[in-house]
Amino acid sequence: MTPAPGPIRQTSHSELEQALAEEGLFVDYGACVVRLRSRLKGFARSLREVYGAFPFRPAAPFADLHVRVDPGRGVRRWLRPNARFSIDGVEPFDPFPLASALPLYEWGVNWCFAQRFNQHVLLHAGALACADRAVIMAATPGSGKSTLSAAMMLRGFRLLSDEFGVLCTERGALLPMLKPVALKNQSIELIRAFSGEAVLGPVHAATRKGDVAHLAPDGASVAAVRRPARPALVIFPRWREGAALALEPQAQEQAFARLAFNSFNYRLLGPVAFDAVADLAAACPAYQLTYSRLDEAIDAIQRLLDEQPALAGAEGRT
Amino acid sequence: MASLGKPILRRLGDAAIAFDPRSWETHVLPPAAAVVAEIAEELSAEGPVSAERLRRELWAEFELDCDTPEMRQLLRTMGEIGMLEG
Amino acid sequence: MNAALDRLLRVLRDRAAARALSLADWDPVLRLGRQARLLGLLGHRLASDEALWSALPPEVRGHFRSAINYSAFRSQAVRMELRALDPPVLPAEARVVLLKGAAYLAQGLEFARGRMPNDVDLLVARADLDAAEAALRAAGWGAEDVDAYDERYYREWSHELPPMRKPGHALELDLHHTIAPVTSRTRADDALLFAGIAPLAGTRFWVLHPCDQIVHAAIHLFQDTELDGRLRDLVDIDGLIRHHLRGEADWGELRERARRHRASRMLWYALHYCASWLGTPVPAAGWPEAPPEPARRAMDWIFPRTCLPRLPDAAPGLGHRLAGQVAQLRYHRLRMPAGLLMRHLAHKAWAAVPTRRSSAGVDA
Repeated sequence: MTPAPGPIRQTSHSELEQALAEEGLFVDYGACVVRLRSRLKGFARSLREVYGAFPFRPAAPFADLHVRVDPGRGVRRWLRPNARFSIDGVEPFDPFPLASALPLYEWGVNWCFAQRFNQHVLLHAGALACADRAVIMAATPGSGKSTLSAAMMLRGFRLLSDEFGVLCTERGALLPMLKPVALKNQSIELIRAFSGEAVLGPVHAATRKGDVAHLAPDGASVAAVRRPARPALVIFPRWREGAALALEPQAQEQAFARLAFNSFNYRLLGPVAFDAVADLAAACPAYQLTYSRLDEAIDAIQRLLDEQPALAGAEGRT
Repeated sequence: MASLGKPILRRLGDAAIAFDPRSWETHVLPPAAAVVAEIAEELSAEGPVSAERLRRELWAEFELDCDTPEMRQLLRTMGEIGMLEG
Repeated sequence: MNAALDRLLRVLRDRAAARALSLADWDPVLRLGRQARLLGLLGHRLASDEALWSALPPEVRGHFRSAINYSAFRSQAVRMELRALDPPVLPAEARVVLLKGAAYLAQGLEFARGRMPNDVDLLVARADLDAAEAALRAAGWGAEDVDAYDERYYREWSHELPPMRKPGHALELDLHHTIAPVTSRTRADDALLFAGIAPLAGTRFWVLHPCDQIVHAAIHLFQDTELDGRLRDLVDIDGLIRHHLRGEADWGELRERARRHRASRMLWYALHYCASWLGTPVPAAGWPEAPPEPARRAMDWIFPRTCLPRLPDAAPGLGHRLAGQVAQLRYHRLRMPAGLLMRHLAHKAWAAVPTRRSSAGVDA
């Protein structure tokens, strides 16, 4: 029996680089396993910071996505060093500057996942859980969803994902797609100040989305990547500077419409998504949460979650 | 390419949602519209329902006037998505 | 042929072979299947056997389920496009024949479940072409971005118009007036083609005679611009044969129609690779005259290297690259007489602009 792999943060830099250069690093995000290979110097360092709690796996029988992050080719690579992302030998997008290899990888995996994982309804939402009851936090511009998700994880919620609400249509459960949380601009320092436990990767200045840094998922969230959670609450967060906390219940058909509109593949899945999102809207109370302070918002969400009746036997349609 | 049938109607609280299998479009019906749609569904158990027949039923049973712009729009939409014949 | 490709072909030949695959075996098989755009098709075959389906590893099932869902979405797009072509969009008098995937879908052919159509192919008589095109334009369809030279190429030399799309529609329409390029050495017998069409009940459309569907698929195998995707075409031909051809009389008719369409050799090659790789049952009397031995050997060298999916993990070998170039050359020779070939290729070189490769292979 082979011993359980140690976490990546305890793996030597050279071991990590070697794995990336050879058979690859296998990363289990929960809903998806990625096999990552790279010849890019320095990329291993960034990975180590934001994937510290993930087990070091240089071999695995199966991967869902086979990706590479490599340096640019040809003459240009001396003039403007680039990082290239490819999946199964195809480069779906333009290269990023070399220094932005990590954001390129993170973004690339998200894109490929959204393209290929249509066995699930993919909500554009953060998902966190408390004792396997999940909160879905719809991602809309101005929601502050990533910052809020990051803060909630630091306050003890299990993070499933800050980007994808992966709704398994067979069981109505949410699956983790546990990526490092991409924080932008002021959120980076906000989260750094929010908790001493926050492990942040390097700040990538002036990417397409401004300054970006990634918060590493914590040990507890990583350990639970294979554990589904049952949706119990839907939140539509709205960050407004200086606003007092406000909770507005959403009617079921409103929640349905907003979730459907805010999904990666609702249209593609047709009747399958119609049923799955309707089930979700029928089963979970939904609120619009207006907030300006993270602490207040998290307390409010915790209270709402605690109000939910015990879910055993109260699931309704499965 | 057999006919795919009428929209699938689901209640959500007081409202309803409808999925049109021909176009794969989803429609949200606020509570008042949901009631009308359900009545149409009940009537269609006996056979295809025309807009005319629905109007008559709504007036006869519920004294509901279908001549408002909202009601006309609703009946038109219901026709477009296949909930009503003709 | 590598182990993964061998396994993929085995599962295509007999879905029960899926039982023998371990999770590690499935990894490269799924990747090859995705490259070949066969995941939806395989998914349907496996899903229709409940015991087999539930015995699959869950992650493997997930990929197949995703492809099945994606294919349902594309099929829905085809149905909507066809509904949008009712008269008067295409004139009622014109007989509009569905080709390839659109035909298989409309006919409800079981073997074609799980395909992922990118466009809708239609055939009208040469005499109806202008009216059909005008009617489509009047109804909102427009030609995709095509430069003037390409447009002339399409109109004068090819067998199809530049693709047309109605804004807001997911699929392109390809309007053909025959099933082989006009200038190629294969010249289909249009009269025979239209004599064999049959109406599709409940619709305004027609479909080709079953044997002509097979002949068209065989011609298409060697005429396609995309050098990938041919394994999928062979799977189609295998499906058509198993569905349409019953006895000797049917096979005899296939051979005769192929001969009339001057596609006997292409049919021979199609049958050869279908039989070798997919186990398609071809009776002795079904074979057209074999091409000369040197040609067969050359094709046996080119075809697998260019037609079968490969994993991108290793750089393409010299053999593969050469085969690719030879195949391109052959493709162009088949489509255009020598004199035209020089002009066309030269223009293409000028027009070539480095573009981002399409996301083919990433979707679904």
